[in-house]
Amino acid sequence: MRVKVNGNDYDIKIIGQNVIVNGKQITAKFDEDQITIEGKKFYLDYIEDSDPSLVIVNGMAYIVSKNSDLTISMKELRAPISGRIIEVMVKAGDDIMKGQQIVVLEAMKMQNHIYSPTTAKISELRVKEGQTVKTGEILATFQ
Amino acid sequence: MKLLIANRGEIVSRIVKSCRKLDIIPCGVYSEADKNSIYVKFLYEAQNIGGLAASDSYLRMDKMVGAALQLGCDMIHPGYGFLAENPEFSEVCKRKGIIFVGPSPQVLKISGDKLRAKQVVSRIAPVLEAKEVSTQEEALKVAKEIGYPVILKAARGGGGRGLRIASSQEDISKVFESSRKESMISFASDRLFIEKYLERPRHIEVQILGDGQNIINLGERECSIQRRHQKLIEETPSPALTNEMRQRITDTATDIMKEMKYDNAGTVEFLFKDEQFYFMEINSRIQVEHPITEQVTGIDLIEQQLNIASGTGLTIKQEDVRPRGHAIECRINAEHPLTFIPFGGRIKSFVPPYDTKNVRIDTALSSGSIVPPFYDSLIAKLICFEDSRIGTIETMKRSLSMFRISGIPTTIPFHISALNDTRFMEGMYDTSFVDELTPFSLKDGEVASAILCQLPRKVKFLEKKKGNSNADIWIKSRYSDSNFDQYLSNSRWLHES
Repeated sequence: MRVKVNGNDYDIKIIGQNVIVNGKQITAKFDEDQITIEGKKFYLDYIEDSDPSLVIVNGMAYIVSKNSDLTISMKELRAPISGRIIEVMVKAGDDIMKGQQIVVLEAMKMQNHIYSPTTAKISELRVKEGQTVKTGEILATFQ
Repeated sequence: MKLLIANRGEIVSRIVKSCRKLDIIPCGVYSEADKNSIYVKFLYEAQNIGGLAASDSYLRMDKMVGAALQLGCDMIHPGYGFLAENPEFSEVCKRKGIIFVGPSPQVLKISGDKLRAKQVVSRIAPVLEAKEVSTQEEALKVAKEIGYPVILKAARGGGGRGLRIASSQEDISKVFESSRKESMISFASDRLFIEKYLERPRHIEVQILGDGQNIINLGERECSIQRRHQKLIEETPSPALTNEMRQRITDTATDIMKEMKYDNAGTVEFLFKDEQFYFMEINSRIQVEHPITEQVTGIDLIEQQLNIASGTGLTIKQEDVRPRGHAIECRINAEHPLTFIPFGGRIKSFVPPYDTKNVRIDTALSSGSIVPPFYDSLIAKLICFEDSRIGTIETMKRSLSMFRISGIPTTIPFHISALNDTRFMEGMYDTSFVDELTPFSLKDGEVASAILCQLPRKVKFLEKKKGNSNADIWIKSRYSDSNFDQYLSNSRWLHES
């Protein structure tokens, strides 16, 4: 299987205890949440269920994407966490850029700046300042 | 003597340690969400004050005072955050005959009002020009006088809330209302002021102890590594100061606190740029980052706080403060390491680095603990200290990569990246450090991640997240009220996107 890790391509084949990385066989030992490669231990601290996915190994962050050519067309922006909308930076009809700040969402005593995942026109803005939102609630939809 | 600790989490465990030393009986409180938290087990007696949100629990003065009276406590230690710098709380304690471990209400009234504190301090130390504004027109006028860029701040503010930077007239009209609104929501006051904005400053603070008569300093802490005005890494001594400058900044801080007749532990915060420092504010509480000062001075700050509050007074003199070596603290938060979005949930395993005598961990968590979504996301403070700065950095890097926290993402990868950055290694950094940071990782780690992603274990891992595993039932039994759904969805948001 081909994957991209932090922007680099890897071709991984796992057949039983044999692992072939980019055509080269390596010695690997698997265990519960850890793997030993060529004598060095790697602990899996965290793995995110999505693509691309955040993987934390030995305290370091890796972004693994399985389908490196996939471009997802985004139709909506959802609240990543429950909280209160402190500030709305855009309005319906605005043309926005990928990475542009859409709202500030306060949760766990933190102001979380929520950015646009895509370059598009905002067709509908569903929240206003002061409103509380739940995780997964749609904040804005895109054309 | 009996003491009520009006707080939660790691700082409770920390205060308990000093109480035991002084033969003070430590009591405490817990909200519904903290019922099974480990810190509760360290307390001699603890009262359930109900509620989940901080506003229904740890921010309620009536519940705190009620618990103190019921448990027969002579003193209240507010810790940091929550009610720590609330002059009203300190006054209520006084009225009820309970000793408040913190400065007097008179001092809190000045330090809690940033503008007033600036006025008092401007006679002693350089401050950045600031003026209160109540309308947008006034804001535009003042900004023009001071000169752009300027920063809007909430007079009652803290924790970076209500802060807005404006580099032009248009910016002022864009941010004025939102800053005012945020100040109102967060601090119940819409008083704003405008200040000259210093670009890329360093943030240096001086630790003070005082009992009203004797005021001493315990050296400085460098706190420039921040995101959204919240500190992530602190170190002492600051790599930015020459000995001469260190003397000047610590003397100035001491003079400021002498003027205030300061009576407890407190911090004077400065911005530092081009060999010039400017007073910013006074933090009148024990701070999250106090351990690094304790490690280099050998002085127990909480013990001194208790001595001052109980009337014994400060038991050390300025000559007794002889810092040696170097200490760094990394605040490990339950957050996405790249976006810093907080993440509550259940910790699967929690194995701190135990290996050396020069590593200190302040935490109240262990394997199986829950990080409730209702409070801040700090889960552990990792403090390392060695004779030299370079030695401390090496020990910290090693400790970070040995610190196993699984089940939720943490900011450990951020810290490893920061400590491997040449700007950090050279000590040449300012408050924009985090914005310009490149994530650090290893090639062999990439291979390991690629393989780990494809192992069958991942399937098992995913099943757990689907909602019917033992872990979820375990959490559910603890949150059987209406907030449960919100709780679970909070801890799962990353899996939905």
